[in-house]
Amino acid sequence: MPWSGRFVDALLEPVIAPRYLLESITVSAAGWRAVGGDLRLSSFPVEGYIEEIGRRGSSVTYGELRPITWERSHGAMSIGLRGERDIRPFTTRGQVVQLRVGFTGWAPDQFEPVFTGQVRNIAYRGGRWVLEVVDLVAALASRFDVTSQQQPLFHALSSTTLTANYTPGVTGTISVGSGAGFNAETGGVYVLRITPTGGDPYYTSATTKPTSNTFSGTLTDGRFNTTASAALAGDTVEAIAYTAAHPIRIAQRLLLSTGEGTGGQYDTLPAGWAWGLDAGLVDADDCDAFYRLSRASGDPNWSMLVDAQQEDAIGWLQGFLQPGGYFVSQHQGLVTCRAVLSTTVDTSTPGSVTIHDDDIVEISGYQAYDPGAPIEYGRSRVRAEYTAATDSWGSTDALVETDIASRPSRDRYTRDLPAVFNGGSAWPTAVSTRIGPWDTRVPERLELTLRGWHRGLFSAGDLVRLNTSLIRPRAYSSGDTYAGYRRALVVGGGIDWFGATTRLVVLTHPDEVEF
Amino acid sequence: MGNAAIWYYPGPGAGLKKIDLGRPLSDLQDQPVRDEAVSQSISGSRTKIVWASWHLVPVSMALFADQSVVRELDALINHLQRGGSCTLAEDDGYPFAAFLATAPERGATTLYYTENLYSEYGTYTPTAGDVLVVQGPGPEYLREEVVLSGVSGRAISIASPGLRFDYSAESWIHVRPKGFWPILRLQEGATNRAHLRHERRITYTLDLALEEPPNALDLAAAHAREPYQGELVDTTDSATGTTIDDVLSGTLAEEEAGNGMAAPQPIGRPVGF
Repeated sequence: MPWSGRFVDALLEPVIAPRYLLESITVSAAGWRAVGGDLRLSSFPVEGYIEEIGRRGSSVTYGELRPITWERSHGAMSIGLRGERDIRPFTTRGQVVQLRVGFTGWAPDQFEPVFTGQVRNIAYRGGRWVLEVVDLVAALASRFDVTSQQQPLFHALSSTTLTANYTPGVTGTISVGSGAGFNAETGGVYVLRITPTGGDPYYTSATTKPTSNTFSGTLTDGRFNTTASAALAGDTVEAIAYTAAHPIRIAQRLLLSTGEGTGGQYDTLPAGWAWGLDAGLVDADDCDAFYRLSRASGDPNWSMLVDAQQEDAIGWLQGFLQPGGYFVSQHQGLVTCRAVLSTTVDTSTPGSVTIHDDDIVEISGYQAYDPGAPIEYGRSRVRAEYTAATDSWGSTDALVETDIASRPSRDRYTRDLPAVFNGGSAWPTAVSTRIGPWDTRVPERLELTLRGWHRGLFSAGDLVRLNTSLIRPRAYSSGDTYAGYRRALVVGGGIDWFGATTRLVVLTHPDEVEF
Repeated sequence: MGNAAIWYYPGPGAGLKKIDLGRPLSDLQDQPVRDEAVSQSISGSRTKIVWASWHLVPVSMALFADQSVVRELDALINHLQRGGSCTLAEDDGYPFAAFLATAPERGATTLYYTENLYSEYGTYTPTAGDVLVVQGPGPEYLREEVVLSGVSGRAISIASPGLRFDYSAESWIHVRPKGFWPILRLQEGATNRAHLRHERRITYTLDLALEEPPNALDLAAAHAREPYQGELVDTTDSATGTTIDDVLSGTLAEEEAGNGMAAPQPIGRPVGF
C-alpha cells in the first residue's frame, strides 16, 4: 500500500504546507494487549486531537544497510511537544504510535503514515518536552502478547520424550509424553526432531496429531538432509516450528499470523510463532514487488526450522534472512521485507526515478571506497543443501572476479543458506547474482541532500538512477561522469519531515553500466 | 481619528475590560512572518516547506502621562505575561471582525459576512471608504487590503477589479478594518522585556511586542457560527435555490455545509509539567 497518488503529487509542489498527526495505533489484528492509552496529537487544531506537535525538537532518522553483511540499523523519531498539555496519562513506554502527514485542507483520514514506531520515553531536555520513539522494526524484538512469558517468538516450543519405541518406516505412530507446544502451520505438517540413543538427531514430519500426545498420518523420516534411525522410549523429541516458502513470504507469515487464520492469506502460523501484526502495518505491495525481484529458478522454498524460543525476535528473523540478502525494514511508514539487489543487471524497483542536478542541493558526503566494505573478495560463494552428518553442502555457486581491483583483497566470501534443502543450485545462483557483485568490488558511497520531499519516496533497498555532473565515478574514463543514468542502491536516509530536504545514502558499483 | 484602545478579559467570569489609551498610538510596524524552510538545488530550483504564518504587531505609545492609563496598562501587561491575549484597535471606532459567509473567487466585488464578532466592543458599521483586511488561514495566509465602495446589510462592495487573490479553497475568510487586531499575544521571548518604561514616573512609554498567533483565527472560526455553507452564485444558488439569507440565518442543514471546520473538542487548560 504505497502512498496515495494525491499524497505523492502534493510532495511535488514547489510550496508544501504540511500538517502532522501522531496517533497510537492497534498493533495486532487479534487484539492482543497494546500498552498505553489513546494518544492523539496534532500540529493544528482538529477535533479529537491535542494540539501539541511542534517543529523544534522534532526529527525522524532512518535505519541504514551495511554492505557485505546487509545488517540494518534502526531508525528513530523525536516529537517536540508544546507542553500545553501533559500527555503522560495518554501514553506509556511500549505504546505503538504512527506519525502521519497531510496538508492544509485534508481530512485526518487522508493523511499518510510516514513513520511507525514504539514510544521509548517522554523526556525534558534543551528546554522542551520530547516524545522519543524507536523504529517499529526495533520494537519487534518481542511480541505484543499479554504476558511476559509470551513475549519471545516461538515461546511455546517444548520438548518431551518418546513413550514407545519408534522405528522409521515401520512404526505408524509417534507417541510422546506431552505433545503440548507441538504445533503445525495451517494445512502444514508437524515437525519433530528425534534424538535416538547413540544416534544423530533427525527430523520427522507427521501430517496429523490425533491426540494431544501422538503423531501419525503420513510420517516422513530423515527430512532436511538428516538420517533417521530407530529410537527408544525415553529418547528426546523436540517440537520444531516449521514453515516453507520464499523468505519474504516466510517473513510475512511471521509478521502477520495470529493463530486464528483471519488475518489474510499469510495468517497461517500458530499464534506463538508470530507477531500477529495488523495487516495494515505491513506493506503487502512492497513485499510482493521484492518477492518478484528475488525469486530463484523453479521457486524452491526456504525451510524455517526453529527449536527454541527467540528472546530477540527481530534479531533472529534478520539473522535468518541475512544470508540471502533479505531484511525487514520500514518503507513509507509500514513494515516490509526486501531483498538487496545488484545494480549490475538490468533491474529497477517500483517507482524508481532518476535524480538530477535539479534535485540535488549538495553531495553532502562522498567516499570512494565505502568503509562498510573493507575487503574486496575475489569470489562470492553461496552454499545450500547442508547435510549435518557429513558436514557438507550439496550445492554452491560463486561469482568470480579474476582481477584484483583494490586491496586488501581476499580469495573468498562465503554465504551459507542453512534454510535451503532442495532446488539444487537455484538459490545459490540467485543469491550470488544479486549480492555477489557487492562482495567482489568495493562500492562507492554518496550521501545526497535533495531539494524538498519529492525524492523521498525511497528507502533502503530501492534502486535509483543518478544523473549529475557534479562528480565523476571512482573508475572513470575520459568524459565519464554520473551523467548517463548510473544506477545506485539506496542504503539509508529519507525525508526530513520537519525540514525542507531529503537525505539519501546510496552505493554505486564500479562495474555498473548504463542500461 | 479616535483614540487607540485595548480590550481584554481579566479572567474567567470577568467582564470585558477596555483600556482607552486616550490618544493614537505612536507607532505600529506590523510585519507578516512565516516559519518556513527552503531548499535550493544546484540548478536553482526551490522547494519551500511552510509550517505556519502569523503577524508581528509591535505597538508603541510614547511619552504619555495619564496615571490611570498607566495603571490599566500595568495590569494588562501582567495579564499578557501570564499567557493572556488582548484585542487592539488603532482607532476604537472600528471594533469589527467577521467571517465571510461565502468563499469569494479572484475578482469578487461583493463580500457577504456573517456577524460582527466584536459588537460587544463598540458600535461600528462598515462604511464606504473604509479599508478592510481580507485574510485566509495559515500557513498559506492569503491576505490583502480592500477599500469599501458600498454597504448593503451584510453585503459589502469593494471597488473593481475586486479581490486580487482566490479564496474559494480556503476553509475560512476573515475580514476586519485595517488597524483592528482581534487576537494578540506577547511574542515568544518578549515576556521579560520592559514593556512600560518611565522618566522618573512623569512620562511613560509603552512598547508591547505583540503577535497574532498562527492558529488564533482557526479556533475563532471553529467556535463561531459556520463560516460559510458553500459557494453561492450571486445571491441564490441556482442548483439548490439557497439564498444568502438562508446562509446568514443559519437555516441550511449541516449536511449542506461546505468546507467549514467542525468545532474541536475542548482543549484542556494547561496542567503544567
